[in-house]
Amino acid sequence: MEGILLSEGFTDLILCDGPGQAMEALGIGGGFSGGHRAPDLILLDVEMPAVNGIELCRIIKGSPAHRDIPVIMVTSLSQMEVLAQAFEAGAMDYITKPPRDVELLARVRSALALQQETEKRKAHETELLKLTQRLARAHQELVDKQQRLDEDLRSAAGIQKSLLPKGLPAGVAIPFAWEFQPSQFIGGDILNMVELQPGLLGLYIVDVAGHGVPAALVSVSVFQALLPSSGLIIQDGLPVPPVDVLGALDREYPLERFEKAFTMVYATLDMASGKLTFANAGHPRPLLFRADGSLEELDVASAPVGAGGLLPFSQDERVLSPGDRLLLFTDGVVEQPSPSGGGMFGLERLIEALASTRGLELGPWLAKAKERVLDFGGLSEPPDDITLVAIEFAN
Amino acid sequence: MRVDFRRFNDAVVAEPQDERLDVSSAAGFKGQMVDAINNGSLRLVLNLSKVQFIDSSGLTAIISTIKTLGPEGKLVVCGLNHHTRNLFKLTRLDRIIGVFNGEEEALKSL
Repeated sequence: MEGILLSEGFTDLILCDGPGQAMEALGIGGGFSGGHRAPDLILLDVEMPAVNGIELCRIIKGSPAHRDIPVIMVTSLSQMEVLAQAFEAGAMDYITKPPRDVELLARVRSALALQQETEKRKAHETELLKLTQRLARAHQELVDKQQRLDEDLRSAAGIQKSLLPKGLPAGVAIPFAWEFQPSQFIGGDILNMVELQPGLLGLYIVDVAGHGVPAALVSVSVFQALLPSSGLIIQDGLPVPPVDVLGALDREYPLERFEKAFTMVYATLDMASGKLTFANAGHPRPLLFRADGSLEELDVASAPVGAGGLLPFSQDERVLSPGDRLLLFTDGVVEQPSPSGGGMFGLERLIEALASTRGLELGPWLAKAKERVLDFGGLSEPPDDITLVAIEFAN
Repeated sequence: MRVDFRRFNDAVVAEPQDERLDVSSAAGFKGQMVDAINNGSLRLVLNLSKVQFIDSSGLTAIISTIKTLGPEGKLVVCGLNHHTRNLFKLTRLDRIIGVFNGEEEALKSL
């Protein structure tokens, strides 16, 4: 056999005399002592002293480092009955003794070819497995990122909520109420009322264009700019007129700075005289529900803050009487869509809803109006923040 | 948001094809308008016939377009509906942008 194989170029042969030598050469049951790499093919005689070929085959196939090496059993015709056992033990083929060179070479070559194919397939499988793992990792990373984004949005929404007035602001002795319904995305509505000096209140509502964290961040920044301590609404101890507050904000927040514009109404109210001074930057017109039942839309307007002085701002005045109610609201209220495609809630519906419930206290009056807006939108969350603010004058 | 551009002599008509110029389409709209301006279109008619609704983001995009145009450029609009006309009034944009009923009239004004 050695001669046949050598003559065909299979020169890297290890010849073992008996199972002990074979196991030693393969490194089974001890270190790999042969100094050779694992063989490509094992030819195993069934008949050997001490441990027979079938048992040795079983041992080889039971060793993790060797189980993939193909084993061809060499057997005499009279031992044909043991072939079943040999295949069961993991042999892949057999050759009868004495081997004919054509048969031996054909069997050896096909075993080696099969082995090569198997290895190739295994390499492919390993590659596929790696790809699958990489995909799984990439997917997990995306899931993690989404989770972080969701958390960020939740905290941003939390921050936006924390800006809402808690209870009645210090120094405010008139009924004041607001309703806020955040949209499905985080939006940019804020509102506040502050005491500018004893007997003079400042009131505002802001709607930053767009949604998401950028809009919310701009809201936070604007909220801080409008704190009495920031020097924008009170300068040198004196209240700044609404028209100048809008002008200062317009310079402070040019469109180019955050790619965001915002609409707002800023008003001051003198508690002694009832004088209301107001300015409007692109915001829906405030509604004045007079105690006598009449209604006025406060029509002073300009371009949104951020337009960069595209239009000069202006302000106007009214004198409030006890019982008069001033309502500020964001466009999310009137632009609340109907789920059936029946248009938007609209100003007419808002006025009708408020006029018909005029007898309610200020808080329930707003709550009822918000309920009507949300009912109009059906079950879906509103696409934009819905904000309503109202005061009732009393002196 | 797809915006169709048509050239008439040295004027360009820009016509947004979506029904809504809002938070989801404003950035795409603005990008195309700015590209057109940077390519030398300084006399623009914004035909809003197909636009049914503009929100504050859409309005911001229009203001941004006017600012990009600068003092040498001119922008007029046409094809407003009840809602969009009201928005232009509310924000006083109708005082700085010419508002026309039809495209032909708007082109003539340039």
